Amino acid sequence: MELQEMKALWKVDNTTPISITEIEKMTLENSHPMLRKIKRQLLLEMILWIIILFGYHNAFDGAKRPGAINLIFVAGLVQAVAYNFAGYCAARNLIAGSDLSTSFHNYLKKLRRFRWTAICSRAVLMLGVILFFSYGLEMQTKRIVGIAGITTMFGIQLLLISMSWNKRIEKLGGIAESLKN
Amino acid sequence: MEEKPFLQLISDNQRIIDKICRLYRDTKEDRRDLFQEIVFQLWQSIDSFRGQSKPSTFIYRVAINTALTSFRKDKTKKLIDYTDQLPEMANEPEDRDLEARTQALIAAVKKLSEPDRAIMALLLDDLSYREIAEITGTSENNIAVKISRIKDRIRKILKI
Repeated sequence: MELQEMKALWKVDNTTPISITEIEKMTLENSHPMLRKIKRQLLLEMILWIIILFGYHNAFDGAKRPGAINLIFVAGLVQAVAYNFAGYCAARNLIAGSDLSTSFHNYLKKLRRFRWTAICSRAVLMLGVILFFSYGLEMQTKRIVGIAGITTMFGIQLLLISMSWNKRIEKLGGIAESLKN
Repeated sequence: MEEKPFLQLISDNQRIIDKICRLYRDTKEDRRDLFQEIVFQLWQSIDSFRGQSKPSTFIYRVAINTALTSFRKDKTKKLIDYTDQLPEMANEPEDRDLEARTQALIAAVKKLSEPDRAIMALLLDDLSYREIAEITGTSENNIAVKISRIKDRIRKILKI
């Protein structure tokens, strides 16, 4: 197959036409398949954090714990809500430059920043939860083992988050490099 | 740009978006999702289009950028979509032959690396080296070298 024949084949229009009304729907955020899923998931998470934020003081005896412990716990929840929202905004805009190389370069910079924010955000949240619920507990072997187990689980979760970000950044970095060279 | 001319622009150029979707996604469902994602990203970034290049160049840039950057579904969950291998409009023998050759070409281009697929798509749509360099953000010389390498690879894949 010669290049001219390939070009002719490429230009054959065998698409099933999509109406203007359908295209119009595609411009709406609410009909966007991926954003809709992210939005639903974030909304559920945010509702959960907000319920905990408003109910924890009474439900989990916040008054019996020092102000600093309460502050770390609340800060962990608030920044988790803020991070979720920032993540959603970032997922809306994939185009970050006037050509593919610039766009990839900027997008990767944003992703690298987000990777650290994601890890720190989750770590602060986990630290807040562990500190809050373990404060004032009489440390018996069972409880120590329990807290160690939860901390290990949180650690594994952090590692998985970090690995998934690294994988995505590495893949996009490879594409960016290949576009440039 | 106002919404009406934007919609018309997309309608007139949907072939470009469709071709990019075919190159970067394997199932009908994934292609439909990517098509929608591209239209959404085009609408989000249409104000950055100042008319310095052709509208089709802008559409190609955003479409390729979106295809390469957007999240994909887990490939392990992918079902085999045999119907995708069948021509959509193949009533006459000539149509069937044309569709089969188009499918063979697309299958060959899909064997290239993701960035090379983009360059091949632009080349096949008759964009000049300068326009391809403009879209990818690299030099014309670099594009010329890449294209020569890609052509060799495609010939090997198609066993010319």
